[in-house]
Amino acid sequence: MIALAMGWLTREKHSTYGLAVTRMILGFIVASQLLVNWFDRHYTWGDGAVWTQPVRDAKSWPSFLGLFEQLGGVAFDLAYLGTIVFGVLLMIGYRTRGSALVTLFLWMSLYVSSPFVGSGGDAVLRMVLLYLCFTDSGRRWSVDARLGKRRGEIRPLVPEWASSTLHNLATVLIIHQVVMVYVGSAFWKLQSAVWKDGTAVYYPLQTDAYSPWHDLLQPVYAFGPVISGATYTAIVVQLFFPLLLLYRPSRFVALILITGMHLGIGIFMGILYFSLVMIAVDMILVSDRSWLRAEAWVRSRRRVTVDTL
Amino acid sequence: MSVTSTDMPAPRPWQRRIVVALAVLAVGHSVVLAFWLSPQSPVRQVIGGRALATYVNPYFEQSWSGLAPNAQFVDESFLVRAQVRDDDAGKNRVTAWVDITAAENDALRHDLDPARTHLMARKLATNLNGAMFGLNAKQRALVRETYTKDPTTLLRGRLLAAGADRRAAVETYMTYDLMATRFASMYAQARVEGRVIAVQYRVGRRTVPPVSEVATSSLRDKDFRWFTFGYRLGYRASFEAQSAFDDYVKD
Repeated sequence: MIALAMGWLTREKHSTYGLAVTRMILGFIVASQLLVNWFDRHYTWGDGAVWTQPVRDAKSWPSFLGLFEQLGGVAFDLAYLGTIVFGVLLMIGYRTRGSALVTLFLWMSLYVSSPFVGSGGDAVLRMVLLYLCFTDSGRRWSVDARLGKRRGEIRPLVPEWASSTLHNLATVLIIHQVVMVYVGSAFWKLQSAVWKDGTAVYYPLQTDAYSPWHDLLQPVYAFGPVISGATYTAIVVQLFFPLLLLYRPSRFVALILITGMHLGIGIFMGILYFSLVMIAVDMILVSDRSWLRAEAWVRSRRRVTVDTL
Repeated sequence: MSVTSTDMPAPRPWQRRIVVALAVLAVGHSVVLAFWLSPQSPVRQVIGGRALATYVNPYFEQSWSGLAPNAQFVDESFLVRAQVRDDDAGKNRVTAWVDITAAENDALRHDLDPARTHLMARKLATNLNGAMFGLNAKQRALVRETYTKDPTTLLRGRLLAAGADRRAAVETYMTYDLMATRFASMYAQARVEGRVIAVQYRVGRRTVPPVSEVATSSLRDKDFRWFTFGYRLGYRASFEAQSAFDDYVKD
């Protein structure tokens, strides 16, 4: 058993394709979030965030994350643009491990500079991004992989057994994080009366801040079967998520349902950022065999398109 | 498919020890995070909530409510008005109330991935409402007094005298009083000609009516429960900070 675990940890790097997809989506999220907030950057995170100082000081963030708090004007803009660039580098997988580390540092420095604009998605993003730094997420579907193919194999700095161990343990931590979010969240919901009576989804969809389509979709939101269906599906999928992962066909169903749930939350509550973070992390759970099959399908479609043209 | 190194020799004993140590670290880390998020349990009591917090905060901090956006079931509101000095005319005037959250909610409408800043005033209102619910009735009356000449440190002393058992709630309130004063001052200054010398804000909350009343009542028919605060001395921000507000508010 111990020998098996030792072999699993040291001989192979697991989920390399799933991690590549997670890496691409997380890089995209960092870059796109900063672009979406570009016009309000000084008000949100820059000089305008000075009023949040008392809460900023109360948090025990290390001082080396104070970069954006120290910068103003053009220097702030350059650091902000730098964060977008590193997010893109992470997405395309160029110098992946270094890009992941710098993206994490810049993103966290920006995050701590304004405690009033964070969300639940940030907690998951920063933890997964940290674990991602220990993985070989640039091994597949990346610029690094293409350059490596052209250049040939280079003797790695870190021995393979150590690099594989770190990669696999970090992957386990990412999966543990996502499963913990779902199961714990389901337990939390089960303690709440509105989740048990199947009406919980109704409430946020009535509020001003978390219901951007309220004026158009209120008849749907007021329709009982839709609300109870969404409420109970959310609890069941989250509660049984780890069990559903164990068997390949049910894993497929679980991932489709959970992705659908995230898209539903993101679109109907106007918090697509939060949903994308969770979808990105879920992609690790798709097996490498399935990703390869998907790649083969895309390649064959592309060939058909080229032949037709 | 995994990256396999089939020709790799089995790890040596010292390598195995490092692998085991790393695995133990990872498992320990996972267990701590799981206990942090678990409900109260005997195991958690043995480890101690504070010991867990020291490890988890701030980087690994997470909570179910934060990770479950569907926990939202209220509208919250932040309004501000200001006393403005017109130096040319040598007169003071009071502006109308400005509903900042209403303007931000308009910006959220029909947007899938809105700018984060539109939720800022709402979060300030959420925290101020929470701080007020932590105070007793006498303390809630005290915050309605004006502090434009006296510093708010006097308010802190009076709040503590009115409820010494609520020290943590008073400290929380004073923190948000300071931040709301700064935010309201900068926001008001961005909207008016003249110099903001004092600001007053109020926060409201209204709860979504039960789903059983869907046919007869909607959230928009409900009145807010308001907390109004006394005037506070206006905060003069740096040129750069005020410019950031000017650019945002005037757009």
